[in-house]
Amino acid sequence: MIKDITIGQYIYKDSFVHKLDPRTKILISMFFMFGIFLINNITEYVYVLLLTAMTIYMSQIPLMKIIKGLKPILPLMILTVIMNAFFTSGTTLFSWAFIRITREGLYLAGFMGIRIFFLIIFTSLLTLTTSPITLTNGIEGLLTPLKKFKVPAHEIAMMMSIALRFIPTLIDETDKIMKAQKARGADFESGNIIKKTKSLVPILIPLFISAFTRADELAMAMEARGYRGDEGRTKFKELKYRLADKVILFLFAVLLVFLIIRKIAL
Amino acid sequence: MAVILENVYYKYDVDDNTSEEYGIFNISMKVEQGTTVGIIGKTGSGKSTLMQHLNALYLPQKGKLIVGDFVIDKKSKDLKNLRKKVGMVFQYPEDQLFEETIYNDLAFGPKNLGLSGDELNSAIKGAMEDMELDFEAMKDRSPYELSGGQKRKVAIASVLAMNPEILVLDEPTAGLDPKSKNDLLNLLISIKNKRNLTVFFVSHNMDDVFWLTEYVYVMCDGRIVLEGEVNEVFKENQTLKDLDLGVPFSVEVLEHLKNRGIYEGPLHPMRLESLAALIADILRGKND
Repeated sequence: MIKDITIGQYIYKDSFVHKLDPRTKILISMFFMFGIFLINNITEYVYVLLLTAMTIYMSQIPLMKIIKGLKPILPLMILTVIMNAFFTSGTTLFSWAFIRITREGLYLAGFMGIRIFFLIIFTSLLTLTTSPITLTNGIEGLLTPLKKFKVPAHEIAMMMSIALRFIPTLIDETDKIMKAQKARGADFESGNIIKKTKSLVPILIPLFISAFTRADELAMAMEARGYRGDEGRTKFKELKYRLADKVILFLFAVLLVFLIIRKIAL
Repeated sequence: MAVILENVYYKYDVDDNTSEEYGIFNISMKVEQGTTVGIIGKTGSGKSTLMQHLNALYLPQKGKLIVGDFVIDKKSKDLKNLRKKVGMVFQYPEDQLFEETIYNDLAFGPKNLGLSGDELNSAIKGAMEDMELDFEAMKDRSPYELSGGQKRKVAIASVLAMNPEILVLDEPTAGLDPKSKNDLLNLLISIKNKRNLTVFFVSHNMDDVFWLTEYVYVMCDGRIVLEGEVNEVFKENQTLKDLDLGVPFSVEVLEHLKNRGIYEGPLHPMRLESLAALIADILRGKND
């Protein structure tokens, strides 16, 4: 029942996008995110669509997977569109009682919808083509220069990979405890929201206890194997920018700079 | 309560029509009221899946179960009344403890079933006494400050507090030290007799299965591959070994004696005292 949850659903394929350096992928996703908010006309969104379609094609990820990923975000998208449509001031197109829809509101709502759409697709492409471990490696790599400013880059990355590693374990554990409590007559489905929340206590307490025990044991196991944090630690897989990474990063950076300059100039 | 299973199937991934991976496949069994049956099989053979059908944590996708007056098939509802009758002790049951006091933890099950007042109190008291836990001294203590063996007893008491008529024990002694293990098994035997329970005992320890049970089902890949009276099943030395299972210690010893040509009788499983007597007889015979 609870096993249907998937987080960071990486799909293994031997594609160009998969092979890119995780730092490249994280950076261009960020560039893309900024860029998308600097664009505000339909023709340019067509280009964005082409770019996205090309990336999906090259990543060899089935299109259905990506569309499925959009589903949970749908309510958020609709809400954003409605909020923008109703609460933007400008020339009134239509009004009834306290509701007023303006031309500017409609434009903005449309653009916001499109932006969120692209945002979700591009970021889910990132997690679909990069395994969680590679992703945390990439984040560590990107944060490393910040060590000068006392940012604990390695610790953050280690925490993230441990958290990701334990998600399936905790899901199994939850499933097991839920069953045990159900066998004792617990009821998680019926009742109002307060009753339902209260019914979670018999799951959460054992879950927390086992999580802390596990954390303790893991810390001990890591120490026993000589883990002392970042210092002196070598990597099995060193991250390295290849030519393709450099070219793509350069192109995206140029594009973003162009968009920023245009925004300021106009 | 008697338990009857009729051609029960369960598949984890229902949508996957290509896969032949069944959790359990065409299981039929008939367990009389008051008997203790053993379920053995290697890890992943479907034992736990089967046990979780007995109180409808899983509903059979095909076939049906008859537990006392309850008939369970894929559309069954009102499972609470069934769960009241079938007590499940999972592996490492102490993981389910969550209340501040032992009393409250034991009250969780019966309260869910609608018990209150004196009825609740006597159910808890009875369960604790049966598990040899001192009611007055322990009821207000936290279950977390107990030793492993005591915690296990509290967890089992929390199931007994629901006054089940069938008890499912999934590896109840896993991780316990030898003394706690023997104490617990002895306790379970006396509880079974006192409460006249029907018991399902899942274990990897063949000596425990031989000691506790009367009838044994052997599972492999979700199917029952061997069943019978405990004495009969444990004679199938080779079959059990082929299934990655063992035989009771006594059978192992007898087989070695047979291989060395100093014993010719059947490979009966037996208690250690009887085994010692048998070996003593052989030795005396040799000395003559």
